[in-house]
Amino acid sequence: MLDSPRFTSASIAVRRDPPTVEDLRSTTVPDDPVQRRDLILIERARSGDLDAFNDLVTLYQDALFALVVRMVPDRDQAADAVQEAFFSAYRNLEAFRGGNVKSWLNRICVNAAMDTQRARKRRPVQPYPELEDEAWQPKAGDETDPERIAIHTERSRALAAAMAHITDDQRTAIVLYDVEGYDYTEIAEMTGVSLGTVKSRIHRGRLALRDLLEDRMELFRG
Amino acid sequence: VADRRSHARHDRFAISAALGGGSLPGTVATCPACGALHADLLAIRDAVRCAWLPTLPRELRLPAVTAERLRPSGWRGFVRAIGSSRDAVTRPLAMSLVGLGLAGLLLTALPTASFSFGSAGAMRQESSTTGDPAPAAGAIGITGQATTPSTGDVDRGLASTNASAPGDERLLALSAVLLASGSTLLIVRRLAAPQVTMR
Repeated sequence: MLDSPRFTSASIAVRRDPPTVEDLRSTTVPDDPVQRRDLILIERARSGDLDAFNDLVTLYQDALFALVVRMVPDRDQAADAVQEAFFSAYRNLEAFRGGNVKSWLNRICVNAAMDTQRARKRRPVQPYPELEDEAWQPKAGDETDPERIAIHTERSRALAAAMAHITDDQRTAIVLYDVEGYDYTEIAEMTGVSLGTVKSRIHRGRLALRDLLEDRMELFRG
Repeated sequence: VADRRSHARHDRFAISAALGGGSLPGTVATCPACGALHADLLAIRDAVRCAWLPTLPRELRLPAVTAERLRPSGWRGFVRAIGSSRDAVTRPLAMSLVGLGLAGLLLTALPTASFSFGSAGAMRQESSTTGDPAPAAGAIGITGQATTPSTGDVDRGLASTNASAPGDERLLALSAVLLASGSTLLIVRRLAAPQVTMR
């Protein structure tokens, strides 16, 4: 899923376009066709067109799930969190003040994921219960060499298990920084902690991951 | 052993920070363990970025029923709108209405009270100048003497009370309406807020 061109380009778009606060509706028409399309869909959804909102859901559900499932190591809970995020977005369509729709949805998803993490602390479950699930298999066509598929699968499982063992805060900070490309300040604002705390969580999390994976680093080299 | 001891004193955080664009510590080049740590952190970061993830287990499109519940139309939409935390109008409006209503009620109540005390004093003064031994009706409870006022005094007091009644009644009615409106708005806000449920 992550190797697909759509997801890769979307991730890069988030990294290069920090969320803006100005209202683009009345002043400028964005040059980016993706943003223009998203704003049109939002406007139509605001006027009561459910299909327009569902088009947005279809466009972004995979990318948002990929973000949340890294933060919440349980497939069903991650899907629930993304669903909650879409509910929240739909309910608060009037609160969207222009800018990057994907960044807006990302932020809502991060909040939903953190809510889920807090709920998990109260009701702990087995992390990644579906590790042996077929869902972990790569999509057809992504890899053809069986040996590479096996290595990649094993690496993903080892990494997922290690990610499940670091703290929620560290995992969230690492995902937002290393995968989503947010900077320290944005992560501090999103998670409601200081800049120093964000840096500390990222560095401690990375070092903890390395300690957890030290014996299996041959999977990651080369 | 010497390498391991010196490596323990090296700043591992600085090596991690270098992944985010910070300057690479010199120990990465000089200390083999620091060099290995840096290489491992890079490999892990790349693996986190391109790890295979579970696929989305279900479609997340909103059905029409859920959408209607999330953004209700008509009067339900109005109730939900005034119950939302973003609504910055109805709460101050409700508080103002309640405040005005209470103020109006106080204004209508205070002249009546001052009238009874004031008329009592006036009648007492009048009785002392005319030599009438009967004290005013309002003096009961203040003086502790249970005496009956003269018929003329009571008539005068009632007449002045009736003279101010129409204006007071209008103010009283207006105050009651304001108070009721404000209270109703507050209750509706209160009832509307918990109705916002996710599913």
